Parts: sequence; C-alpha cells; structure tokens
Amino acid sequence: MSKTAFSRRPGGEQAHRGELPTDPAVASPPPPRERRRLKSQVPPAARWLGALPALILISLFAGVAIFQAVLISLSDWRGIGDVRLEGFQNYVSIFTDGELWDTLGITFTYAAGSTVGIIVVATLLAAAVSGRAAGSSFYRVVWFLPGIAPAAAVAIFWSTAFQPGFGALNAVARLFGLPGDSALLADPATAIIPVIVVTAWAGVGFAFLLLLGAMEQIPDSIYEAARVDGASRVRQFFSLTLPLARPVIVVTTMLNFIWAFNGFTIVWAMTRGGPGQSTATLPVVVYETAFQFAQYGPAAALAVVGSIILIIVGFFGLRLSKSEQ
Amino acid sequence: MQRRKVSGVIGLAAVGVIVAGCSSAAEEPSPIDTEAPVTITVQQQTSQEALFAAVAEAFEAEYPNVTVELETVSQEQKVGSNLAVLGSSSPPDVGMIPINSEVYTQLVAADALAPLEDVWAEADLDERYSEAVASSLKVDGVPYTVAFSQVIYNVVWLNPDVLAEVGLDVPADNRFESAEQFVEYATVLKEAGKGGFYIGGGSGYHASWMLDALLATAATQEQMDNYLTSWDPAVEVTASFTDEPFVTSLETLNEFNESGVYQDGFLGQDAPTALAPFLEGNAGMAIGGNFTTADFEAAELGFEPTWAILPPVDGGSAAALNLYFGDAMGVPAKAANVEWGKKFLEFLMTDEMQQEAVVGAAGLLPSVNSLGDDALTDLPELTQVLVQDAGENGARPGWTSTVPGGVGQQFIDPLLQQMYSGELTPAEVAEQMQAHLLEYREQNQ
Repeated sequence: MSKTAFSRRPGGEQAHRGELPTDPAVASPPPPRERRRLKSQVPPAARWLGALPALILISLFAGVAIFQAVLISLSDWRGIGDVRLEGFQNYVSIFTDGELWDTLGITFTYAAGSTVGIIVVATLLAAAVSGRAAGSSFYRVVWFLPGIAPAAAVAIFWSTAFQPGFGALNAVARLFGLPGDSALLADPATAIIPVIVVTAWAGVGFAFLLLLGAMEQIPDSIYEAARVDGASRVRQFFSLTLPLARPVIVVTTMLNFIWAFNGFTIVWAMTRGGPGQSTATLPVVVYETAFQFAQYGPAAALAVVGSIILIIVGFFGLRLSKSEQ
Repeated sequence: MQRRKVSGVIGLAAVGVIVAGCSSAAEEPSPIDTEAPVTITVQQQTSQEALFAAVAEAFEAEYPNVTVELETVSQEQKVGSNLAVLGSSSPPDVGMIPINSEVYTQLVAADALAPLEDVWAEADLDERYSEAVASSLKVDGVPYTVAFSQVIYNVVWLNPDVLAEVGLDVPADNRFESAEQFVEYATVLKEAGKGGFYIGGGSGYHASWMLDALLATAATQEQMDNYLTSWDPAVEVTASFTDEPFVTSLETLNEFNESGVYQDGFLGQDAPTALAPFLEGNAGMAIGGNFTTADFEAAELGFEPTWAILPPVDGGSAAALNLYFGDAMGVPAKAANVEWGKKFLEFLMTDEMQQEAVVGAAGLLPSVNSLGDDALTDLPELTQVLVQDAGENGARPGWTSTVPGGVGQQFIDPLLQQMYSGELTPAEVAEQMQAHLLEYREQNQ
C-alpha cells in the first residue's frame, strides 16, 4: 500500500476496514483521451480478431440457445420431430387468452415480494453486523446458512412447517395462544405468502454477504465524523450507510428480482403452482405447458416474453445503478 | 410428418371388446449376437429400483455378454421431460413410457417407438394380458409398449381402531353404500379430531382419482367408452363433458368438499403429507392404492388397516376399484440396441420375472394373468384381498389413468382445486373441460 494513499486520510490512519488498491498508477484506468489514442494505434482487423474468442463464446453459450428458443416459439413443435414454423400464432394466442396477464401478475407479486423481503432483512442484518453488534461474527456465518441449503429441501421443510395442525409454525402459534390451524398454502388467496417468505428466507444469506461487503467499505472516519456531529445510529444508517451502499443495494435488488422472477424450484416444490393457478409463476407455467402438455411452441413464446421483461428490468436496473454510482 | 392416430381401442378396451385383429403377423426379429459384449441402457422409475435390479441381474445371468445399465427417471420426468430423452438421437435402449402421458402420445405420433409385435408374439402377450390391457397398449393394432404391472387405486384405507373410537363400523361389504354415508363417516371423524378423509389435494391427482371413481358410476358404459376415447380426433364425441354424468360427478365432489369431508388444508398437502397422519394412527380414512401397503410396512403400523370402496354418485351404478396399467415400457426407434431392448422386454414379461421381480421384489401386481394360483401369495395380505375383490366384483380403468395427461389429469387437477376453492362451479369446470377437449382434438388432427 502506498504512503500516498494513507496520507490522504484524516490523521493518516488506516481508515478502511476492507482495503482496496488506491494508487492511481495501479488502479485507475487510462483517461478517455488516452484510451482513444491507444485504440487508434490498433488495426481494426486486429481489434476484431481480439474480440473473436468472446464472440464465439457468446454465440455458443447464449446465441444458440436464444435462437433455438425463438425458433421454437414460432412453431407448433410438440417436443419431438421437425420444427414447423407457423409465424407469430403462439404470441398472438398467449397475448389474447388473458392467462398471460394473470401469470405475470403472480410472477411480479412473487418476485417483488421476495425481493423486498430479502433486501430489507439483508440490509438490516448487514448494517448490524458491520456495526459490530454483539455476536456479529456468529451471525455473519449463521445468516448465510439458509443460502447454501438445497432449495428443494428448503421448500419441503417449510411446506410442512406451514401445515395446519402439525406444522411447526402453527405449533409455535399455539404456544402463544393463537389458533394454530391456519392453512395458508391451501387457500388461493394466501398461498403465495408462504412461498414468498420461504424464498426470502433462502435468499437473504447471499444478499447479506454482498451488502455486508459494501457496508464494510465505508470508511470509519465518516461514521466518526457523524458521531462527533451528534448523529444517532438510526440517523447514521439512513444518512450514511444506505446512500453509500446504494449502488450495491440496487444491483443486489435487481439480481434478486431476476432470480425470483425466474425461480422455479421453491414454487414447484411447495405448491406446484396451486391451489388452482394461484401460485403459477411464469416458469411454472412454462414448465407445465412444455413438459406436461407437450406444447413447446407456446411455452417457448412465454419464455421469450419473460426474457424480454427481464432484459428491460435489467437495463433500468443498470442505469439506476450507474446513476447512483 | 404424417401423424399416427392413436386409435379408439382404449375405450373399447374398457368394455373388454376386441376390435382389432390384435397383432399382425409378427416380424422376424433380427438375430442378436450373444457373444459380443454389449451394454444396454434401461430406464427405471423411482420406487421400483428393486424390481429392475432383480430383472437386470437375471438378464445378465441369462445373457453373460450383456451388461444392463439402469437409469432412474422420476415420476415427474417420466410424464414430461423424458419425451426429449426418448426422442433424442441417443435414447436409452428401453424407456419408461406411461401410456396416459403426452410422452407416449407424441412418441407414437412421431413414429419414434419401435413396433413390438415380435416381443408380444414371443411373450404371448395377447393371451396373457386381459383383453382390456392388450387393447389399450396398441395403436391401430400395433403394440409399442408392454405394461409390466397393474395398480389398484381409489382404495379408502380405514383405521378400524379409530373408527371404533368414534363409534363407527367398517362399512358393510367394504363399500360405502352412498355419498351420504361417506359424508357421515368423514363428519364424525372430523368432529372427533381425526381429520375426516385425508387426500393430497395439493399434488392434484388424488382429487382427480376420486373423479375417476365417481364418473364410472355416473356414466353408462357407452358414455364411459366415449369419455375414454373422445380425445382421439378419429372418434366422434357422443358424450360431452357438460353432460349429466360428468357434471354430477363434479357436483358430488363439490358436495364432499362443502360438507367438510376432506381434512383441513388438504389443498396445500401432497400425497405423502396427507398419508402421514394415517400412518401415525391419528386418522380414520385416507385415500390410496395397493401400493400404499408398502408404506404400511415401512411405517410399522400400530393397527391393522382395512379398506373400503368410495361410494357411487346418487343413483349411479355399483362402485368398484379402479385400475391403472399405464406404467409401460418401450424401445425408442433410435436406440443403439433395439433388438436387445426388445429381448429385455420379452424377458421382463416372462412369468418367471413377473413372479420374482414384479411380485417378489417390488410387491406389485403382475400385468399378466398367466401366473399360477399361488403366485400372489408373496404379496401383502391386503393387496391380495383387493385383487380378490377386483376379480369378483370387477375393477374399472379410470378416466385420468387412461386418457393422455394433457387432456385428462394435468388439465383437470387445477380446475378441481379451483372448484374446491370456490373459484369455479362444477358446471364451469365441465364447460372448460369440454372446451379443452375440442381444442385438444383440433391440435392433434
């Protein structure tokens, strides 16, 4: 670590908890004018040649799959045999039969609900741990454990816990004198709630680690200055921690939304999209349409629509993240 | 692509009428090399590992140059994603192909299964299967699969100790005589804290099982035949799902629900979750089949379970147990070792393997009727009793266990859940079912 980096800090102390290279000569990219000058010195053919490996990899890993998905979405393929194109019939069908909007509504509810749960809990936990609350090193490990449990196992455990009568949650409710006979999973109006809760429970650990890393990058000196100015812990959280960690919070929020939007295992293992279609998120409907009804064309069209939605979400998320940075 | 039409023989099978000339003259099988080492791949489904391990071991002993590699497919896979595996350019040599799934329908339509006339001829399956089973396994008179076991389902398992505790007797002749009596039993049990009638409504199929039982009592034989075959565009629709038998069956199911027959939270429970209280001795009635006896054995019950048959709809014909014989196996046309795949199936269908592997190792019912009188003595006693009842009083193929899943079980299950939740009326379910039938026929023209 260079002395130059330390000399910029108040009192010359090592203020960062997680050190990053700060020597401009080592860490900073060349300025734009310099980049343009370097770029002009490389022949165009060589630049394309240099990009070729990346293009090939992208084509292999993403391009082929995307092309095939779009192709199938334009066909009446039944899972075997030739793919016969029939234009945009599948798209017309899914946009006109009404079920798509119900499905998207359920999917957005599930994705937004679980994302909000994950981010709120993970942010509070990360703030507590980064602030060195009592037992923070213990919580640092414990809160990550749900994130490494297999999703199917998590779903099976929790779906049992939510059962009326013998479910663990109802047993706890009875300890507090509550009825203890709720059957949230059995009611179409409430079935999505346990699924959201379990998804949030399973997803908090990873978000917690990301946010903790971001919060530990905030220099102590800023908090010290705030304390000198008389700012309370709560004020520090809202005025310092959240604003300074906001870029990571935005990215983490976006990632969790995308993961939940595409999530299948927990929903399927807990409810199979039921009762009725009350928890049938887009991935569940895609699965049912393709694998249970052998309607691969409409299923692929649904998947393509879902992908476009997520691309839009990702685009705005990245824009938001960059603007915050 | 010229699609093959899966003929209406399934429905005719239900009434035991032979319409096809069974099989055409068996083709001469290609000779197999019994000297060169060969490895064949055979799919097995979860929970039947013991059966296929026994068959594989015996097959390798019979043909020392052959190594059998078993691939396990889940219950989910066998009715869904297995289509891609079996239709691929490198499928297993023997595949698991439930005949009431879109996997079977689409494979047959795409000519992706090897005809098994030679296997059937060698194993004499036209004689050893019942007429109903033999007919249901053929398409335009050609067999593409063999069914290796049968399942009896829609059994109401009873805990006589719990019934006695609440002042109820086991129904006379193991039959609920009416829907009213069935509701009364469930109500008494529920009021006593024993949960009513336990079904796994969340996993769906338990709900549609009951529809199978009731529909068979509500419809005439002619109507039932049409319900079982009308998914085939070649068969004229003469019994609409909006007709009285189907609607009455739905209304009866709805009345069960509104009367509180099912346990609390049943729509959020899968089959194992619903069965658990019964195994623990805390429930008086639970739905199941002959396969449930394996759960009884594993759970080491503290009581002697007995059984009954679901009631008929009011004014319907006598109720009977339901049969499922759809767990079938076939040989993908693109398999690397088609002849060895056929040989394996032929071996699986021998009386010896039906006895040792299907009955002995797996405790399942054989699909053939050529075993000796004492063949079933290896089965659990309760299973033997069910078999005896089916023999004496008949057993019926269920609607959802016969028609393709895409038109039957997988479509009706969510609708039944919506009906139980009060989102749809029985009439609305029937209307959606009929509309789906017409759409399905159009798509499979």
